[in-house]
Amino acid sequence: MLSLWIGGIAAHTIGYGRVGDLEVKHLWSSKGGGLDQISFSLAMPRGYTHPVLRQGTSVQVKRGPVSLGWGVMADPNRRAWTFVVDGLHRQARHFNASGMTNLQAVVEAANARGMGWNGVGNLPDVAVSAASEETAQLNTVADVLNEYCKLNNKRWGLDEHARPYIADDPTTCTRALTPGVPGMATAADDYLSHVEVRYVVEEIGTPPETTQLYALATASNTDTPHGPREGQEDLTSLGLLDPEVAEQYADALLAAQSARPAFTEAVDVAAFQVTTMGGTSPSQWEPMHGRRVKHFGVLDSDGRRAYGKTLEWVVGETILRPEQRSLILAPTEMAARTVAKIQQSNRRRSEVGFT
Amino acid sequence: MQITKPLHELDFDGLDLTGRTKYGPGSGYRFRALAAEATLGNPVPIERELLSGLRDGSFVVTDGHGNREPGFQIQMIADNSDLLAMAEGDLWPRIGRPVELGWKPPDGWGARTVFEVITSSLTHQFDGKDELRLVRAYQIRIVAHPFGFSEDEVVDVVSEALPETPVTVTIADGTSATGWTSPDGAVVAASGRLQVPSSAPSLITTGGTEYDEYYATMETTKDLDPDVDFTDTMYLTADVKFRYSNQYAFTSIPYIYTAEVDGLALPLVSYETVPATDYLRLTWLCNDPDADVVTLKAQCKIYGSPTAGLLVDNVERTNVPPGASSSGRESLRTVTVSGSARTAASIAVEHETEGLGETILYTSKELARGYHPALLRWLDATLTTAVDDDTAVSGSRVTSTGGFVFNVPATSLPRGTHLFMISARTTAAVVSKFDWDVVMRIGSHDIAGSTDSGTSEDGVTWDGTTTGPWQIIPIGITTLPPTDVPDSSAALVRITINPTALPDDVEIGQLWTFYLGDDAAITQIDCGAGTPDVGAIHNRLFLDAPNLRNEGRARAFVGTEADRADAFQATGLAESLDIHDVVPKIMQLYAITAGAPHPKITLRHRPAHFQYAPQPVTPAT
Repeated sequence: MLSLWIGGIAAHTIGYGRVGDLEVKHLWSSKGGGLDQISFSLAMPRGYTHPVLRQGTSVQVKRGPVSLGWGVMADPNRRAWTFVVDGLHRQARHFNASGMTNLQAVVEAANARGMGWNGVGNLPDVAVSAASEETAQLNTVADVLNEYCKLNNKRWGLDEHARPYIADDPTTCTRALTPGVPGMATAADDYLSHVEVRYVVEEIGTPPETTQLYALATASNTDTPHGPREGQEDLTSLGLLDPEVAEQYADALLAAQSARPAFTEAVDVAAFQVTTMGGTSPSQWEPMHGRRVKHFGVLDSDGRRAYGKTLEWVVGETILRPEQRSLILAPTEMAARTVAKIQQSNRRRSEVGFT
Repeated sequence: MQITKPLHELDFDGLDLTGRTKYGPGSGYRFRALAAEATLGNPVPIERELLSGLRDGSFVVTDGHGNREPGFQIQMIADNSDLLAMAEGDLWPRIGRPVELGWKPPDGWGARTVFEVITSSLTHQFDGKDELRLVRAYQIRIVAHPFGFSEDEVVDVVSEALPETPVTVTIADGTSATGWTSPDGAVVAASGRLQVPSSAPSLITTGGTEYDEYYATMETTKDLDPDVDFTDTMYLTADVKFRYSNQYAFTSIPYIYTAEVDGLALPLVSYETVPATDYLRLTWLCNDPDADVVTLKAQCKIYGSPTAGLLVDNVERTNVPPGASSSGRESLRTVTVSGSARTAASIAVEHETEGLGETILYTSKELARGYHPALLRWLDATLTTAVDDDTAVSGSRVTSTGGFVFNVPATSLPRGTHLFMISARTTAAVVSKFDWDVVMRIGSHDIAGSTDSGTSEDGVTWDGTTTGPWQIIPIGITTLPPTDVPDSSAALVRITINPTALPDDVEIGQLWTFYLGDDAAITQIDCGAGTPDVGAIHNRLFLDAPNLRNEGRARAFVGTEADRADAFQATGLAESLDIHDVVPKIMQLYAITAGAPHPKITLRHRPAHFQYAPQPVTPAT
């Protein structure tokens, strides 16, 4: 059984001891990953409460002694006794980078102010943008990490022990989906084969009366089976950029989301449809996010140059409902297809970005 | 047969509903349940359909059972309406709250079955004719726990705590066949084992020279002279191997092994592969105080035109439970659970004089299928040095200059996610984590795509003494065996553990791999080691499964007093707190008590039954 430990107390020893409607979501993403959300309900006698059932309590989800991630409880619904726990990685949105862009320094300082992460993990000791490092920037910790990952095409998140990490997508498959798991539909909305970004290459004149000189950086993928399609992005809001950084940015943009049509669906897999590469089925609770899976029975016709090969994809989101024995796996960078997701992604675009 | 004088009893919260007992003042009132409308209800299965790859049909699992709903039509009988009103006033306060409903069958032989009522409701049907007869009819609707319980709690005997002095008596060591007989020919002692001949193989299916299928049995009996008292050495063990001599011959699984004492078959409590051999070690439980003969039997199917036989070695009787370490700090215990339905039990782990230390209780159906979490017996001895050490959980400590390598037969591991845990200590001023890697070996080759590796999150620390404290830490999780193999496979899973500190500075006492599938439950609580100290070092652990009497909440109490006078909920000391399913009849339980050798483990519960409880019997010991 999966167990929840709320403020160090096992949830199944509270109230009538029943943790219901449990849903555990993990992410693997360039905008924060690891345990993302837990929702559950508790059966409680009328008028009962417990000191740990309040906003801000630290929550750990475990299988036996094995940690599966850490989160922070949101304000409980005290009428229905339903609970939502936000993954600890989301704390990054609620802590300021305070003028710094050095990943280690930012996280170390935020931890000292109570962000609650377990050290700085493998975060590199580098600034996101040396060219524009200054003290008057207004970023959250998440902005800094997101921007670093966007520039370098990396993923960040917290591992099961709440340590932050920066990582690449895996290149070798460690799990297989047996034939019978349906292939996922794709959509080409975000597809681009060529991208141009405009950035500030130089500032001339004497402040405050300066003039900005602009330049373009480009990235292309000419060897694509889906035909050419061009796009652009304005990076002038980032201030002065090195040409290499702008180039990196264009490459990352192309690599991260646009070089192929995006998946629009997730798959709901049965207990024995996920196996190791050797065919043994792991338990459903074993973390799948960030794993590269080989999707047997589905040919890769969606953008890799080698047609006819078995599809491989990286798991970007997992939703586990242990009571239903249901596990949903979604690929990384899934295209928004529901109204809610589209609104969410539009909102993200309109947010003030990295300064 | 018809019972002419029914002796049945039906009571609701102590109120007799058979109409035999009079309550109240004066001429009194009686309650009588009408047989025509009565029902005891049934457990309602909770079934869940699973998503699967099946083209037709679907997998359905039974997650548990919903409440039963007994119901009775009750007549209240009295001499006047005032007494009838009093009768109602007697019944109504018992409605809508947890009470007990008891039923004893009319022939007087069966035991009383108790249904734990969760709540109930009452309806009255006014009837003018009834009023004239001074009778009133009520309908009781009851919501109760799905299963019927025996009246009394029982303490099921987990294999007893080991006596401090293990006793093992050899019945046959394979060097002499004296006294061993077989109906199929002579039993011969050769190469340090007994060779038992088989019956003439009987042809079952014809399939051509190599594919003819035969059935054969093997049997050997030893007259025990003088008679043997098994009560102090209740485990009968034997190492056995099936043998055939024909180039075509191969066997189909399963073989069936049985042991009998004085003609009565013994319950098999464990089987496991004997390390570094291809023998199986079988363990049976026997309480015969006066055993005359012991018989070992096997049966199998074979192909070809074979000469079959059974090899037998190390027939012993012992008081050491199977899988026990010589230090008594870890063991596989067998519990005989009374009743026939799943029940909520209280498991107690106790030692009279020593704090239990780091304590792990593990249960899984796989334990009864030969799986054993301890891996030290698979250690590659060529790289390591083992020294007897009574403080180590396994009874020996191992040092290595080149890491620790374990060659585990793939078929001995249940398929699924496993957790590696290690008992280790450092002997120098270092903190050591552990790198682990896993690979599948068949023949001399590593199988492609079968590797997995990682590093532990925690490490063992040094306390400044040369013999640092033993610590149990998790190392990592992986799916085992990494590559699926058939049940007959000889493949090995090679597990390599490397301390991140200098290997010389680290000693290990055990490596475990805990299978964590759906049915597995693991509880890990640090009870503190040393002399028991109220509130700090605990020599007793009580795990209470959720039941109606503890509001459905799991509890884990630690303390020093047997009556729980100083016990408290141990959530703060627990790494893991699972709910252990207690299922009749034979249940296996794996226990580690790092601080206390040979703890006593008992299981207290109310035996549960689908519907009717039998008379209690003293469980086999």
